[in-house]
Amino acid sequence: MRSQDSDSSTDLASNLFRRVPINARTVNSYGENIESSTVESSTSQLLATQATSIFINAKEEIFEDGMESEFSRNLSGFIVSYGQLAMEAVIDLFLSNSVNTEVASEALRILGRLRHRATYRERLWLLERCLLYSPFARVRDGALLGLSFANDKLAIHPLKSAIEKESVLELRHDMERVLTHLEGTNKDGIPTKKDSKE
Amino acid sequence: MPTVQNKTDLSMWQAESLRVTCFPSSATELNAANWWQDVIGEQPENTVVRARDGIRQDEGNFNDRKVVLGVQPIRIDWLMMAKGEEGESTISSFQDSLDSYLELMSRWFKISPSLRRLAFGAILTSPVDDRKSGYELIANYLPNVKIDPIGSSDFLYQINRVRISKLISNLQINRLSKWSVAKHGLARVDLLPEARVSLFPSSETFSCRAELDINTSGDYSNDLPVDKLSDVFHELVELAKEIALKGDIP
Repeated sequence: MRSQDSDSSTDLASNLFRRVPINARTVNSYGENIESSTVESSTSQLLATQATSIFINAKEEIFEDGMESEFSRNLSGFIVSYGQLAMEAVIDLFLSNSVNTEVASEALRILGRLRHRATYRERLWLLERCLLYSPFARVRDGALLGLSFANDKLAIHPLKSAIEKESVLELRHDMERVLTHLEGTNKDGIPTKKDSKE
Repeated sequence: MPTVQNKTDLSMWQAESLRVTCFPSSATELNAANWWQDVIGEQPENTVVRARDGIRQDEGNFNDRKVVLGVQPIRIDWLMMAKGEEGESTISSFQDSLDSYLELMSRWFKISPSLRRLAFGAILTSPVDDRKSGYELIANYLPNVKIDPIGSSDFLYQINRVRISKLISNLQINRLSKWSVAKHGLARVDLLPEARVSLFPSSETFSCRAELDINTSGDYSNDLPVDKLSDVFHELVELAKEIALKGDIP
């Protein structure tokens, strides 16, 4: 390994030397969206900005149960286009508690309904997380609906934990109904309508 | 001075960094406060916690190598890298680094939470005299690519060669590799009287780079069996070693 030049005689001077890559590129390496990669991507910041924009714009919308909306189209398109990286951006947004409650609830329903295999586990993870830890009953309700759409036995364990700590009686009853459905629909352990389509 | 070698063994590769990334199955909050102590056996030198975001980072040394444990709600990263003293950019030879890293990870998988996805990453470098030598060397590892060592630069080749796990049926393993020849140089950054960056042509170095990301597929719908996590990890490591030895093969 090359050491620093001899004229870097002081600590201050040595701190001013950097080992840098040299290439012909004139743009930063954004846009490296490799589907099978597990490396944290330089696209994250750009996608975070896009996710924030989608959620902020949705604040003005009025959502109707089961109806397609501008938000549902934008969110679904974003996730299908950017896959797991998009889901990581959406998850970061939720974890920062900066999402409007009504929009968050609607988003969770959309995530549960979406059929996109590549992001399935990330979406399931977020639904479970919100069901277990969101301080807002409206968000927990959205997560429950999303989980009921996903219809996966993997949700049984977190659902039981959520029922134990749920303080809103009506929501707890709804959770119990979904739990009964998940436990009863498929005795061989394979979800009947599990999201597996592209 | 580096000289062009033929690929024969792993000894030509130096490890710039090694990484294990774990994707937890459960959305339950991770209790990571004691992981470093449990795995390394002493307190970390530095810890940064962003409690609201569920982010924690512990840093310290293990076997005289720098180790970083990064915990986020959706992923856990164990990184090993050079300590960066005296400008060193690699840990040691790939094999030596790996021995140390495997010891570390054998402790980790005894306490790891349940996982849905697992990855082993390695950034390997091999110093060469110049770009031409680098392209000639890297061509040995890329039998399906024709490289022009004289008339081209900024070569970058990335490919994923999927295999099926020998341990878990239906588990696909992504064997993602990225190959390049890097040119580095020392730059002096002057801040006063005005910001200016000066490159030192005499400091230029060249190296072949192989960036490996061997990971279980995100499409796998089950959790990875807890009692097989260590074995799956070793399978990923063996696949990485195979690529470092034989290059881009199906």
